[in-house]
Amino acid sequence: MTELLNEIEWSEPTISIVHDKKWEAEVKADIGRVADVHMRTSPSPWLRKIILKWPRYEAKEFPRKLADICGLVAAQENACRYCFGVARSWMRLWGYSEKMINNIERNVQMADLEEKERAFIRFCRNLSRSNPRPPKKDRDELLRLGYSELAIAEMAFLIVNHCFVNRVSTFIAVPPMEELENLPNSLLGKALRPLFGWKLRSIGWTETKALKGKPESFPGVVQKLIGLPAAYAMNEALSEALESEALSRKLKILMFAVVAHSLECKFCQAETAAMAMECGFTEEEFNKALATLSSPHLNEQEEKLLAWTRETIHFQNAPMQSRIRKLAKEVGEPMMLEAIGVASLANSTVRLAVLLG
Amino acid sequence: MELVYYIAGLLIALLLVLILFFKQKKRNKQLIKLLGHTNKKLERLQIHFGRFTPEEVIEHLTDSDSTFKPTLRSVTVLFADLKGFTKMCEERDPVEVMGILNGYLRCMSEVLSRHHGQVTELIGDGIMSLFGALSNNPWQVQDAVMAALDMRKALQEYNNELRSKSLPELSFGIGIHKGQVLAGVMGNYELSKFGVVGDAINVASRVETLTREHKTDILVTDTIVAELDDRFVLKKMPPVKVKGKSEPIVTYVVEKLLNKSGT
Repeated sequence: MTELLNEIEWSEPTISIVHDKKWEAEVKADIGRVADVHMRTSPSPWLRKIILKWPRYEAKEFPRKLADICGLVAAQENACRYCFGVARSWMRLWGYSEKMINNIERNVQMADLEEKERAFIRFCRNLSRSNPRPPKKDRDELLRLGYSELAIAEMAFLIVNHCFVNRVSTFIAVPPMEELENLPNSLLGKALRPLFGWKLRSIGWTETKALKGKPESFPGVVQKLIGLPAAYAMNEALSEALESEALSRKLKILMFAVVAHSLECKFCQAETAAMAMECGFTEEEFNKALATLSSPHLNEQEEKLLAWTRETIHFQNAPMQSRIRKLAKEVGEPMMLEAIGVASLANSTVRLAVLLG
Repeated sequence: MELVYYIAGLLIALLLVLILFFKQKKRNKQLIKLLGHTNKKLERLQIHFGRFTPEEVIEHLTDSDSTFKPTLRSVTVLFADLKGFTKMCEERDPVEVMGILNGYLRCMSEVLSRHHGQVTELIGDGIMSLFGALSNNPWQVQDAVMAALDMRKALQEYNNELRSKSLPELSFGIGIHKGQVLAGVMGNYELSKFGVVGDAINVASRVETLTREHKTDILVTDTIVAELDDRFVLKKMPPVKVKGKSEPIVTYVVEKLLNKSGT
């Protein structure tokens, strides 16, 4: 059963704050303040950049109202206490009524929405849901209701974008932003709501660079997004995550392969197999590593992270956060943080491929 | 005079609208209260229901229109049974036996869940756990064998606890096999349950009984061995003919799991 804000299990953070003055100045210049999550992700350059930008992605191909609702629905479905609180507060500051938000949270049938909007929320819930794999029939339903292929691709990207941030925040157990959560109901919040709403809108992010040339990693996924700012964003995230040196490329490819294998995504299975051959695995070694979650190419710490990756597909917050805390002590926080980013990106990429592939 | 009637009519109409408005508001409040109450009831039901059937089945049944019709799946089946339990029941106080059994089942269920196994049946002191029956699990064989090894460890710890309370220690036999089964909700409209049907279930059960003959605790079939890598230390046992099978069954004792350094 989908949970409400105060019913979500949440523990103390699993990853510590690391101050990086240059990075904090950059964040402040971009959005005006440095949040806890930006400091906890600061040791990983590619991850911190996505965490700063992706939650502010502005959809081009479908109404803003649906994009606003998407953040709330994904956070609730993924039981991310941190993101749920932020999404709820943002919606209140953007002018959505408490009643409407309550209705979306409790029962979408009660919310004052059109059939097309309800279908979008169903799509959003099913794609966000950690188990089972996303159903294609929801996508066909949206096409039938008149959304374009490009709009659906952007919807899917926005949902997996939120799922990525939800997973990272849940794995880190980022503390809820109490100050922001209390703002909409405070006297100041009520009096200056339009101003706060406008300020929030003004930090929206659109990728202005266009994708040049062919995407190198997971081209089948990125190509489905061509024509959208999301194409560049997704390609950049995948390339930088795979190029990062905090974890070996072999481990990262196996992590993607484990998620693809679990969600039975044929495209990503083939893609990860080809990538594995390129980086030095034989076919037999790769298949054996995937079947046993163990490989002579990996050290003991890397094997632990690979075994953990399969847990990231369908999980419950409390056991997952306690497992990460324990694992972070064994492998070290920098490696754990990187693994959190890679596993979250793998889950988002594979889900997108299952749906759009 | 007409104006007075007109204003009076207007006021009465306004009054009626106000009465209707407040009545509706009151009704809405009652409905919201009822909805909250029903939600709480549903949550309670889900929690209680969760004790009788795997959580994934409940999620599936509540979140979709499908009835979880049985489908053919490749599943790993683990059977665990206590040795000498019947004798213990004859010799000791039933309340004490129940306490020992509940403690044992709790420990084993925790280990099985940790390794992605669904405890599907508790038959007296017997446990039937399935791996890969509810969702795709490419690592089901490894999960089941690792679960069995951890169950061995958990039983040692539980026996320490029993010994400290001067209670009798337990020993078990585990049989593991993989094969095609029909898995889903079975039964009729009045009484249904999540269950599995297939020869793999019988084979796993027979393999569990062989642990008595081979005087060991964890036995697996060659179907399982084919999917294990060389980190698992196994010992081949002589083939034995079992009830209901024309060919003798070859089994292997799972001795231990080697770590990265080979120890």
